[in-house]
Amino acid sequence: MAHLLRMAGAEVELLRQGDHLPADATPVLVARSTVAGLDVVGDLLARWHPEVPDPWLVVVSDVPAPPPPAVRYRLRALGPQVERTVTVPYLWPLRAAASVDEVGERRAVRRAARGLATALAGPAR
Amino acid sequence: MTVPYAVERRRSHRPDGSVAADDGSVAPAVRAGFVAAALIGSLGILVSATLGLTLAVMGLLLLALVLVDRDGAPLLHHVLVAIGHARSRVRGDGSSGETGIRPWPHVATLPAALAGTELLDADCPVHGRCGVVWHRPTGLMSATLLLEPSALVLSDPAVGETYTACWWTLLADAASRADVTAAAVTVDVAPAAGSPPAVRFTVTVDPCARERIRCVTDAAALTVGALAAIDTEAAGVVACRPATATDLATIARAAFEPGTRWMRPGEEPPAWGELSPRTEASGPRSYQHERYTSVSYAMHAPSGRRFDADAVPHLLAPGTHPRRVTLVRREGPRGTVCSVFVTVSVERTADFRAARAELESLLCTAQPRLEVCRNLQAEAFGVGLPAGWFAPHAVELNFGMTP
Repeated sequence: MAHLLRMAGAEVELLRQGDHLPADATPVLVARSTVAGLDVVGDLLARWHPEVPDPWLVVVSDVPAPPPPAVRYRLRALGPQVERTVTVPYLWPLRAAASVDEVGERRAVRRAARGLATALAGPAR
Repeated sequence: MTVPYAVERRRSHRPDGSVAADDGSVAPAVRAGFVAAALIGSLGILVSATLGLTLAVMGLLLLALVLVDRDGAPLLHHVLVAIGHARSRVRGDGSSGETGIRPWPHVATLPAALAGTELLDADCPVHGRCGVVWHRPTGLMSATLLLEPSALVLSDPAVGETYTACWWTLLADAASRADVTAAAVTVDVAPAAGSPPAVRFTVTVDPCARERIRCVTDAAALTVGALAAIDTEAAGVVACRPATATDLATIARAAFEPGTRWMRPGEEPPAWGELSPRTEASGPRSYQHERYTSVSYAMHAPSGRRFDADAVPHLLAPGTHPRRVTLVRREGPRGTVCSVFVTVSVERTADFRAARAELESLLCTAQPRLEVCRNLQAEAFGVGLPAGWFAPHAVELNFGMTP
Protein backbone atom coordinates (compact mmCIF):
# COMPACT_ATOMS: atom_id res chain seq x y z
CA MET A 1 0.00 0.00 0.00
CA ALA A 2 2.93 2.31 0.69
CA HIS A 3 4.03 1.77 -2.95
CA LEU A 4 0.56 2.58 -4.21
CA LEU A 5 0.45 5.73 -2.08
CA ARG A 6 3.85 6.76 -3.44
CA MET A 7 2.58 6.11 -6.94
CA ALA A 8 -0.31 8.38 -5.99
CA GLY A 9 2.24 11.13 -5.35
CA ALA A 10 2.26 10.98 -1.56
CA GLU A 11 5.32 11.00 0.66
CA VAL A 12 4.89 7.94 2.84
CA GLU A 13 6.45 7.07 6.15
CA LEU A 14 5.56 3.78 7.82
CA LEU A 15 4.97 4.12 11.55
CA ARG A 16 4.80 1.50 14.24
CA GLN A 17 2.49 1.68 17.21
CA GLY A 18 3.86 4.25 19.66
CA ASP A 19 5.88 6.15 17.04
CA HIS A 20 5.39 9.90 16.85
CA LEU A 21 3.43 11.24 13.92
CA PRO A 22 5.50 13.83 12.04
CA ALA A 23 4.09 17.36 12.11
CA ASP A 24 1.68 18.18 9.27
CA ALA A 25 1.44 14.50 8.31
CA THR A 26 -1.89 12.86 7.61
CA PRO A 27 -2.31 9.55 9.43
CA VAL A 28 -3.57 6.76 7.19
CA LEU A 29 -4.73 3.40 8.49
CA VAL A 30 -4.66 0.54 5.99
CA ALA A 31 -6.80 -2.54 6.54
CA ARG A 32 -8.07 -5.55 4.65
CA SER A 33 -11.77 -5.57 3.89
CA THR A 34 -12.41 -8.34 6.42
CA VAL A 35 -14.07 -8.33 9.81
CA ALA A 36 -10.74 -9.16 11.46
CA GLY A 37 -8.96 -6.34 9.62
CA LEU A 38 -11.57 -3.76 10.53
CA ASP A 39 -11.70 -4.93 14.16
CA VAL A 40 -8.00 -4.14 14.42
CA VAL A 41 -8.78 -0.66 13.08
CA GLY A 42 -11.60 -0.30 15.63
CA ASP A 43 -9.21 -1.27 18.40
CA LEU A 44 -6.67 1.30 17.23
CA LEU A 45 -9.32 4.01 16.97
CA ALA A 46 -10.56 3.25 20.48
CA ARG A 47 -7.06 4.08 21.74
CA TRP A 48 -6.47 6.98 19.33
CA HIS A 49 -4.83 9.96 21.00
CA PRO A 50 -7.29 12.86 21.06
CA GLU A 51 -4.64 15.35 19.93
CA VAL A 52 -3.70 13.34 16.83
CA PRO A 53 -5.87 14.24 13.83
CA ASP A 54 -8.48 11.68 12.80
CA PRO A 55 -6.91 9.22 10.35
CA TRP A 56 -7.94 8.32 6.83
CA LEU A 57 -8.94 4.72 6.41
CA VAL A 58 -7.80 2.85 3.30
CA VAL A 59 -9.59 -0.46 2.92
CA VAL A 60 -8.00 -2.94 0.52
CA SER A 61 -10.42 -5.43 -0.99
CA ASP A 62 -9.31 -8.96 -0.22
CA VAL A 63 -11.44 -10.51 -2.97
CA PRO A 64 -12.85 -9.13 -6.22
CA ALA A 65 -16.38 -9.11 -4.82
CA PRO A 66 -18.59 -6.77 -2.82
CA PRO A 67 -17.97 -6.86 0.96
CA PRO A 68 -20.22 -9.09 3.06
CA PRO A 69 -22.83 -7.45 5.35
CA ALA A 70 -20.61 -7.74 8.43
CA VAL A 71 -17.83 -5.78 6.72
CA ARG A 72 -20.26 -3.18 5.36
CA TYR A 73 -21.66 -2.75 8.88
CA ARG A 74 -18.21 -2.18 10.36
CA LEU A 75 -17.27 0.29 7.63
CA ARG A 76 -20.39 2.29 8.50
CA ALA A 77 -19.71 2.07 12.23
CA LEU A 78 -16.08 3.17 11.86
CA GLY A 79 -16.98 5.95 9.40
CA PRO A 80 -17.72 8.66 12.00
CA GLN A 81 -14.37 8.01 13.69
CA VAL A 82 -12.19 8.53 10.61
CA GLU A 83 -11.64 11.49 8.35
CA ARG A 84 -12.68 9.57 5.28
CA THR A 85 -12.79 6.00 4.02
CA VAL A 86 -11.20 5.04 0.70
CA THR A 87 -11.61 1.61 -0.86
CA VAL A 88 -8.87 0.10 -3.04
CA PRO A 89 -10.17 -2.61 -5.38
CA TYR A 90 -8.72 -6.10 -5.47
CA LEU A 91 -5.69 -6.04 -7.76
CA TRP A 92 -5.12 -9.29 -9.63
CA PRO A 93 -1.65 -8.36 -10.91
CA LEU A 94 -0.31 -8.05 -7.36
CA ARG A 95 -0.76 -11.79 -6.83
CA ALA A 96 2.18 -12.56 -9.08
CA ALA A 97 4.40 -9.64 -8.18
CA ALA A 98 6.99 -9.36 -5.43
CA SER A 99 6.34 -5.61 -5.21
CA VAL A 100 3.95 -3.09 -6.70
CA ASP A 101 6.78 -1.61 -8.78
CA GLU A 102 6.88 -4.76 -10.93
CA VAL A 103 3.29 -4.27 -12.02
CA GLY A 104 3.10 -0.51 -11.64
CA GLU A 105 2.46 -0.05 -15.35
CA ARG A 106 -0.51 -2.41 -15.44
CA ARG A 107 -3.74 -0.61 -16.13
CA ALA A 108 -5.55 -1.86 -13.04
CA VAL A 109 -2.72 -0.81 -10.74
CA ARG A 110 -2.38 2.60 -12.35
CA ARG A 111 -6.13 3.10 -12.06
CA ALA A 112 -6.08 2.14 -8.37
CA ALA A 113 -3.19 4.53 -7.67
CA ARG A 114 -4.97 7.31 -9.55
CA GLY A 115 -8.19 6.68 -7.60
CA LEU A 116 -6.27 6.76 -4.33
CA ALA A 117 -4.58 10.04 -5.30
CA THR A 118 -7.91 11.61 -6.24
CA ALA A 119 -9.51 10.48 -2.97
CA LEU A 120 -6.63 11.73 -0.82
CA ALA A 121 -6.63 15.07 -2.62
CA GLY A 122 -10.38 15.38 -2.22
CA PRO A 123 -12.27 17.19 0.51
CA ALA A 124 -12.09 15.79 4.02
CA ARG A 125 -15.13 15.10 6.18
CA MET B 1 18.73 -22.93 -15.39
CA THR B 2 15.23 -24.06 -16.11
CA VAL B 3 13.15 -21.55 -14.22
CA PRO B 4 14.57 -18.30 -15.71
CA TYR B 5 14.20 -19.82 -19.15
CA ALA B 6 10.55 -20.60 -18.47
CA VAL B 7 10.02 -17.06 -17.24
CA GLU B 8 11.64 -15.62 -20.35
CA ARG B 9 9.40 -17.75 -22.56
CA ARG B 10 6.34 -16.52 -20.74
CA ARG B 11 7.51 -12.94 -20.96
CA SER B 12 7.77 -13.25 -24.69
CA HIS B 13 4.01 -13.73 -24.85
CA ARG B 14 3.39 -10.26 -23.38
CA PRO B 15 4.00 -7.27 -25.60
CA ASP B 16 4.80 -5.05 -22.61
CA GLY B 17 7.15 -7.60 -21.12
CA SER B 18 5.23 -7.83 -17.86
CA VAL B 19 4.64 -11.05 -16.00
CA ALA B 20 1.24 -12.09 -14.78
CA ALA B 21 0.58 -15.05 -12.52
CA ASP B 22 -2.07 -16.38 -14.82
CA ASP B 23 -0.10 -16.27 -18.08
CA GLY B 24 1.29 -19.76 -17.67
CA SER B 25 -1.81 -21.39 -16.25
CA VAL B 26 -4.32 -20.05 -18.73
CA ALA B 27 -2.51 -20.81 -21.96
CA PRO B 28 -2.91 -24.65 -21.82
CA ALA B 29 -6.54 -24.19 -20.88
CA VAL B 30 -7.02 -21.92 -23.89
CA ARG B 31 -5.36 -24.44 -26.16
CA ALA B 32 -7.39 -27.31 -24.75
CA GLY B 33 -10.58 -25.28 -24.95
CA PHE B 34 -9.91 -24.24 -28.51
CA VAL B 35 -9.13 -27.78 -29.64
CA ALA B 36 -12.13 -29.19 -27.78
CA ALA B 37 -14.46 -26.51 -29.20
CA ALA B 38 -13.16 -27.13 -32.73
CA LEU B 39 -13.57 -30.91 -32.43
CA ILE B 40 -17.02 -30.75 -30.85
CA GLY B 41 -18.13 -28.04 -33.31
CA SER B 42 -16.96 -30.07 -36.32
CA LEU B 43 -18.65 -33.17 -34.94
CA GLY B 44 -21.82 -31.17 -34.31
CA ILE B 45 -21.87 -29.75 -37.85
CA LEU B 46 -21.59 -33.28 -39.21
CA VAL B 47 -24.58 -34.37 -37.11
CA SER B 48 -26.76 -31.27 -37.36
CA ALA B 49 -26.22 -27.67 -38.52
CA THR B 50 -28.26 -26.23 -35.62
CA LEU B 51 -26.37 -28.24 -33.03
CA GLY B 52 -23.09 -27.24 -34.64
CA LEU B 53 -24.03 -23.55 -34.59
CA THR B 54 -25.08 -23.74 -30.96
CA LEU B 55 -21.86 -25.47 -29.96
CA ALA B 56 -19.83 -22.96 -31.97
CA VAL B 57 -21.50 -20.02 -30.18
CA MET B 58 -20.93 -21.66 -26.82
CA GLY B 59 -17.31 -22.33 -27.71
CA LEU B 60 -16.76 -18.74 -28.80
CA LEU B 61 -18.34 -17.50 -25.58
CA LEU B 62 -16.02 -19.74 -23.56
CA LEU B 63 -13.03 -18.52 -25.55
CA ALA B 64 -14.04 -14.93 -24.97
CA LEU B 65 -14.27 -15.57 -21.21
CA VAL B 66 -10.80 -17.13 -21.23
CA LEU B 67 -9.08 -14.67 -23.53
CA VAL B 68 -10.56 -11.32 -22.54
CA ASP B 69 -8.46 -9.76 -19.82
CA ARG B 70 -9.97 -7.46 -17.20
CA ASP B 71 -7.91 -5.91 -14.39
CA GLY B 72 -5.14 -8.39 -15.06
CA ALA B 73 -7.21 -11.58 -14.92
CA PRO B 74 -9.28 -13.47 -17.52
CA LEU B 75 -12.97 -12.64 -17.52
CA LEU B 76 -13.63 -16.29 -16.62
CA HIS B 77 -12.00 -15.72 -13.21
CA HIS B 78 -14.29 -12.76 -12.53
CA VAL B 79 -17.32 -14.84 -13.50
CA LEU B 80 -16.24 -17.72 -11.27
CA VAL B 81 -15.63 -15.34 -8.34
CA ALA B 82 -19.04 -13.73 -8.88
CA ILE B 83 -20.69 -17.18 -8.91
CA GLY B 84 -18.82 -18.16 -5.73
CA HIS B 85 -19.85 -14.90 -4.06
CA ALA B 86 -23.49 -15.41 -5.06
CA ARG B 87 -23.43 -18.98 -3.71
CA SER B 88 -21.88 -17.72 -0.48
CA ARG B 89 -24.66 -15.16 -0.09
CA VAL B 90 -27.33 -17.80 -0.76
CA ARG B 91 -25.79 -20.02 1.93
CA GLY B 92 -25.84 -17.05 4.29
CA ASP B 93 -22.09 -16.81 4.88
CA GLY B 94 -21.14 -13.51 6.48
CA SER B 95 -24.67 -12.65 7.54
CA SER B 96 -24.96 -14.75 10.67
CA GLY B 97 -26.68 -13.52 13.80
CA GLU B 98 -23.34 -12.36 15.20
CA THR B 99 -23.26 -9.33 12.94
CA GLY B 100 -25.40 -6.32 12.27
CA ILE B 101 -28.50 -5.86 14.38
CA ARG B 102 -31.11 -7.99 16.09
CA PRO B 103 -34.47 -6.63 17.21
CA TRP B 104 -35.00 -6.84 20.98
CA PRO B 105 -38.33 -8.29 22.19
CA HIS B 106 -40.75 -5.63 23.37
CA VAL B 107 -44.25 -5.54 24.83
CA ALA B 108 -47.22 -5.16 22.51
CA THR B 109 -48.20 -1.73 23.82
CA LEU B 110 -45.29 0.41 24.92
CA PRO B 111 -45.68 2.92 27.77
CA ALA B 112 -46.25 6.53 26.69
CA ALA B 113 -42.67 7.47 27.57
CA LEU B 114 -41.34 4.95 25.04
CA ALA B 115 -44.06 5.21 22.40
CA GLY B 116 -42.85 4.54 18.87
CA THR B 117 -39.47 3.19 19.93
CA GLU B 118 -37.84 -0.13 19.23
CA LEU B 119 -34.75 -1.54 20.88
CA LEU B 120 -32.07 -3.06 18.65
CA ASP B 121 -29.20 -5.23 19.77
CA ALA B 122 -26.44 -3.91 17.52
CA ASP B 123 -22.93 -5.11 16.83
CA CYS B 124 -20.29 -2.75 18.22
CA PRO B 125 -16.67 -2.94 17.04
CA VAL B 126 -14.22 -3.48 19.92
CA HIS B 127 -16.89 -3.52 22.65
CA GLY B 128 -19.04 -6.39 21.35
CA ARG B 129 -22.68 -5.37 21.53
CA CYS B 130 -24.46 -2.04 21.92
CA GLY B 131 -28.13 -1.24 22.42
CA VAL B 132 -29.66 1.19 19.92
CA VAL B 133 -33.10 2.72 20.37
CA TRP B 134 -34.87 3.38 17.10
CA HIS B 135 -37.67 5.93 17.06
CA ARG B 136 -39.74 4.72 14.14
CA PRO B 137 -41.87 7.88 13.58
CA THR B 138 -38.83 10.14 13.11
CA GLY B 139 -36.11 7.71 12.02
CA LEU B 140 -33.83 9.08 14.76
CA MET B 141 -31.75 6.67 16.84
CA SER B 142 -30.01 6.82 20.19
CA ALA B 143 -27.19 4.98 21.90
CA THR B 144 -25.94 5.19 25.47
CA LEU B 145 -22.54 5.16 27.13
CA LEU B 146 -22.21 4.11 30.77
CA LEU B 147 -19.96 6.56 32.62
CA GLU B 148 -17.66 5.98 35.56
CA PRO B 149 -19.60 6.75 38.77
CA SER B 150 -18.22 8.49 41.83
CA ALA B 151 -19.90 8.61 45.23
CA LEU B 152 -18.21 11.97 45.95
CA VAL B 153 -20.46 13.60 43.32
CA LEU B 154 -23.36 13.27 45.74
CA SER B 155 -21.63 14.10 49.00
CA ASP B 156 -19.16 16.85 48.09
CA PRO B 157 -20.72 19.92 46.36
CA ALA B 158 -17.31 21.00 45.02
CA VAL B 159 -16.84 17.62 43.32
CA GLY B 160 -20.43 17.80 42.11
CA GLU B 161 -19.74 21.19 40.50
CA THR B 162 -16.62 19.86 38.77
CA TYR B 163 -18.44 16.82 37.43
CA THR B 164 -21.38 18.96 36.30
CA ALA B 165 -19.02 21.26 34.39
CA CYS B 166 -17.47 18.20 32.69
CA TRP B 167 -20.89 16.85 31.78
CA TRP B 168 -21.95 20.17 30.20
CA THR B 169 -18.67 20.19 28.24
CA LEU B 170 -19.33 16.62 27.08
CA LEU B 171 -22.84 17.61 25.99
CA ALA B 172 -21.51 20.63 24.11
CA ASP B 173 -18.87 18.48 22.35
CA ALA B 174 -21.49 15.92 21.35
CA ALA B 175 -24.00 18.51 20.18
CA SER B 176 -21.33 20.14 17.99
CA ARG B 177 -21.44 17.09 15.71
CA ALA B 178 -23.65 17.51 12.67
CA ASP B 179 -25.33 14.14 13.12
CA VAL B 180 -26.17 14.54 16.83
CA THR B 181 -29.55 16.18 17.45
CA ALA B 182 -29.55 15.90 21.24
CA ALA B 183 -27.34 14.69 24.06
CA ALA B 184 -28.15 13.95 27.68
CA VAL B 185 -26.36 12.95 30.86
CA THR B 186 -28.57 11.19 33.40
CA VAL B 187 -27.68 10.59 37.05
CA ASP B 188 -29.68 8.02 39.00
CA VAL B 189 -29.48 9.07 42.66
CA ALA B 190 -30.28 6.25 45.06
CA PRO B 191 -31.84 7.12 48.43
CA ALA B 192 -28.98 5.64 50.44
CA ALA B 193 -26.09 8.04 50.91
CA GLY B 194 -22.64 6.71 50.13
CA SER B 195 -23.51 4.49 47.19
CA PRO B 196 -22.20 5.82 43.86
CA PRO B 197 -24.84 7.06 41.43
CA ALA B 198 -25.39 5.42 38.06
CA VAL B 199 -24.37 7.89 35.35
CA ARG B 200 -25.01 7.48 31.64
CA PHE B 201 -24.62 9.56 28.52
CA THR B 202 -27.18 9.23 25.73
CA VAL B 203 -26.85 10.70 22.24
CA THR B 204 -29.68 11.04 19.78
CA VAL B 205 -28.43 10.72 16.22
CA ASP B 206 -29.95 11.60 12.89
CA PRO B 207 -28.41 8.88 10.70
CA CYS B 208 -29.44 10.73 7.55
CA ALA B 209 -27.70 13.99 8.53
CA ARG B 210 -24.66 13.35 6.33
CA GLU B 211 -25.74 10.78 3.79
CA ARG B 212 -28.80 9.02 2.55
CA ILE B 213 -29.45 5.84 4.50
CA ARG B 214 -31.73 3.19 3.08
CA CYS B 215 -31.76 0.44 5.69
CA VAL B 216 -32.05 0.34 9.45
CA THR B 217 -28.84 -1.71 9.79
CA ASP B 218 -26.78 1.08 8.22
CA ALA B 219 -28.54 3.63 10.43
CA ALA B 220 -27.73 1.59 13.56
CA ALA B 221 -24.10 1.25 12.44
CA LEU B 222 -23.80 5.03 12.02
CA THR B 223 -25.38 5.58 15.44
CA VAL B 224 -22.91 3.20 17.09
CA GLY B 225 -20.09 4.96 15.20
CA ALA B 226 -21.29 8.42 16.26
CA LEU B 227 -21.28 7.36 19.91
CA ALA B 228 -17.76 5.94 19.58
CA ALA B 229 -16.54 9.10 17.85
CA ILE B 230 -17.38 11.35 20.82
CA ASP B 231 -14.25 11.84 22.89
CA THR B 232 -15.36 11.63 26.51
CA GLU B 233 -11.84 11.91 27.90
CA ALA B 234 -11.38 15.29 26.25
CA ALA B 235 -14.34 16.50 28.33
CA GLY B 236 -12.82 15.02 31.49
CA VAL B 237 -15.32 12.21 31.75
CA VAL B 238 -14.35 8.55 32.09
CA ALA B 239 -16.49 6.14 30.09
CA CYS B 240 -17.00 2.51 31.13
CA ARG B 241 -18.54 0.96 28.01
CA PRO B 242 -21.50 1.31 25.63
CA ALA B 243 -24.75 0.15 27.19
CA THR B 244 -25.97 -3.13 25.74
CA ALA B 245 -29.58 -3.84 24.87
CA THR B 246 -29.84 -5.77 28.15
CA ASP B 247 -28.53 -2.71 30.04
CA LEU B 248 -31.03 -0.39 28.37
CA ALA B 249 -34.00 -2.69 28.95
CA THR B 250 -32.97 -3.18 32.59
CA ILE B 251 -32.44 0.56 33.20
CA ALA B 252 -35.82 1.35 31.66
CA ARG B 253 -37.46 -1.39 33.73
CA ALA B 254 -35.84 -0.05 36.90
CA ALA B 255 -37.12 3.46 36.10
CA PHE B 256 -40.69 2.23 35.83
CA GLU B 257 -40.36 0.10 38.94
CA PRO B 258 -37.53 1.49 41.12
CA GLY B 259 -37.95 -1.28 43.69
CA THR B 260 -37.29 -4.02 41.15
CA ARG B 261 -34.27 -6.20 41.73
CA TRP B 262 -31.61 -6.32 39.08
CA MET B 263 -31.28 -9.31 36.83
CA ARG B 264 -29.32 -12.27 38.11
CA PRO B 265 -26.76 -13.97 35.83
CA GLY B 266 -28.46 -16.41 33.50
CA GLU B 267 -31.87 -14.86 34.03
CA GLU B 268 -33.98 -13.83 31.03
CA PRO B 269 -33.47 -10.07 30.40
CA PRO B 270 -36.59 -7.88 30.49
CA ALA B 271 -38.44 -6.95 27.35
CA TRP B 272 -38.26 -3.34 26.13
CA GLY B 273 -40.88 -1.18 27.83
CA GLU B 274 -42.09 -4.07 29.95
CA LEU B 275 -44.94 -2.68 32.02
CA SER B 276 -48.07 -4.33 33.33
CA PRO B 277 -51.08 -3.45 31.20
CA ARG B 278 -53.37 -0.69 32.46
CA THR B 279 -50.91 0.44 35.14
CA GLU B 280 -50.00 3.73 33.46
CA ALA B 281 -51.80 7.04 33.92
CA SER B 282 -50.53 10.54 33.23
CA GLY B 283 -52.04 13.42 35.16
CA PRO B 284 -51.30 17.16 34.99
CA ARG B 285 -48.84 17.05 37.90
CA SER B 286 -47.92 13.36 38.25
CA TYR B 287 -47.32 10.18 36.27
CA GLN B 288 -48.41 6.80 37.63
CA HIS B 289 -46.62 3.66 36.50
CA GLU B 290 -47.01 0.23 38.06
CA ARG B 291 -47.61 0.99 41.75
CA TYR B 292 -45.37 4.05 41.68
CA THR B 293 -46.12 7.73 41.24
CA SER B 294 -43.57 10.14 39.76
CA VAL B 295 -43.38 13.87 39.49
CA SER B 296 -41.03 15.66 37.09
CA TYR B 297 -39.68 19.19 37.11
CA ALA B 298 -37.69 21.01 34.47
CA MET B 299 -35.65 24.16 34.14
CA HIS B 300 -34.51 25.70 30.90
CA ALA B 301 -31.61 28.10 30.56
CA PRO B 302 -32.73 31.26 28.80
CA SER B 303 -31.07 31.80 25.44
CA GLY B 304 -27.50 32.97 25.89
CA ARG B 305 -27.45 32.23 29.62
CA ARG B 306 -25.91 29.32 31.49
CA PHE B 307 -27.01 27.54 34.63
CA ASP B 308 -25.50 28.54 37.93
CA ALA B 309 -22.58 26.25 38.72
CA ASP B 310 -24.20 25.09 41.97
CA ALA B 311 -27.69 24.52 40.53
CA VAL B 312 -27.23 20.89 39.58
CA PRO B 313 -25.10 19.71 42.56
CA HIS B 314 -27.96 20.72 44.87
CA LEU B 315 -30.24 18.33 43.03
CA LEU B 316 -27.77 15.46 43.41
CA ALA B 317 -27.99 15.35 47.21
CA PRO B 318 -29.48 11.95 48.16
CA GLY B 319 -33.00 12.12 49.53
CA THR B 320 -35.62 9.77 50.88
CA HIS B 321 -36.72 8.51 47.47
CA PRO B 322 -34.94 7.57 44.23
CA ARG B 323 -34.37 10.58 41.99
CA ARG B 324 -33.26 10.98 38.39
CA VAL B 325 -31.47 14.15 37.25
CA THR B 326 -31.00 14.64 33.51
CA LEU B 327 -28.95 17.35 31.81
CA VAL B 328 -30.03 17.84 28.20
CA ARG B 329 -28.55 19.81 25.35
CA ARG B 330 -30.46 19.78 22.11
CA GLU B 331 -31.10 21.80 19.01
CA GLY B 332 -34.44 23.62 19.18
CA PRO B 333 -36.19 25.66 16.52
CA ARG B 334 -34.64 28.86 17.95
CA GLY B 335 -31.16 27.49 18.61
CA THR B 336 -29.45 25.39 21.24
CA VAL B 337 -31.46 24.63 24.37
CA CYS B 338 -30.01 23.47 27.68
CA SER B 339 -32.42 21.88 30.15
CA VAL B 340 -32.32 20.04 33.44
CA PHE B 341 -35.05 17.54 34.28
CA VAL B 342 -35.61 16.05 37.72
CA THR B 343 -37.91 13.09 38.39
CA VAL B 344 -38.69 11.60 41.79
CA SER B 345 -40.66 8.36 42.19
CA VAL B 346 -42.50 7.10 45.29
CA GLU B 347 -44.13 3.77 45.96
CA ARG B 348 -46.79 4.73 48.49
CA THR B 349 -49.29 7.44 47.64
CA ALA B 350 -49.01 8.73 51.21
CA ASP B 351 -45.32 9.55 50.58
CA PHE B 352 -45.99 11.56 47.44
CA ARG B 353 -46.66 14.88 49.18
CA ALA B 354 -43.56 14.56 51.39
CA ALA B 355 -41.38 13.59 48.41
CA ARG B 356 -42.56 16.60 46.46
CA ALA B 357 -41.92 18.90 49.40
CA GLU B 358 -38.42 17.45 49.79
CA LEU B 359 -37.65 17.97 46.12
CA GLU B 360 -39.10 21.49 46.08
CA SER B 361 -36.95 22.41 49.08
CA LEU B 362 -33.92 21.50 46.94
CA LEU B 363 -35.30 23.31 43.95
CA CYS B 364 -35.84 26.61 45.72
CA THR B 365 -32.08 27.10 45.94
CA ALA B 366 -31.50 26.33 42.24
CA GLN B 367 -31.41 29.15 39.70
CA PRO B 368 -33.11 29.44 37.29
CA ARG B 369 -36.18 28.03 39.04
CA LEU B 370 -37.42 24.52 38.23
CA GLU B 371 -41.05 24.27 37.27
CA VAL B 372 -43.33 21.31 37.33
CA CYS B 373 -43.92 19.87 33.84
CA ARG B 374 -47.65 20.48 33.79
CA ASN B 375 -49.58 18.09 31.52
CA LEU B 376 -46.28 16.68 30.22
CA GLN B 377 -45.45 14.32 33.07
CA ALA B 378 -45.15 11.15 30.95
CA GLU B 379 -42.94 12.95 28.42
CA ALA B 380 -40.74 14.46 31.15
CA PHE B 381 -40.45 11.03 32.77
CA GLY B 382 -39.24 9.68 29.41
CA VAL B 383 -36.40 12.24 29.19
CA GLY B 384 -34.49 10.38 31.89
CA LEU B 385 -34.87 7.02 30.18
CA PRO B 386 -31.97 5.82 28.00
CA ALA B 387 -34.07 6.25 24.89
CA GLY B 388 -32.99 9.62 23.45
CA TRP B 389 -34.73 12.89 22.73
CA PHE B 390 -37.06 12.65 19.80
CA ALA B 391 -38.74 15.60 18.15
CA PRO B 392 -42.52 15.56 18.68
CA HIS B 393 -43.12 15.98 14.97
CA ALA B 394 -42.68 13.28 12.35
CA VAL B 395 -39.97 13.79 9.75
CA GLU B 396 -39.51 12.26 6.34
CA LEU B 397 -38.75 8.57 6.67
CA ASN B 398 -35.59 7.71 4.80
CA PHE B 399 -35.59 4.08 5.75
CA GLY B 400 -38.38 1.86 6.85
CA MET B 401 -37.00 -1.60 6.50
CA THR B 402 -37.69 -4.03 9.27
CA PRO B 403 -34.32 -5.36 10.47
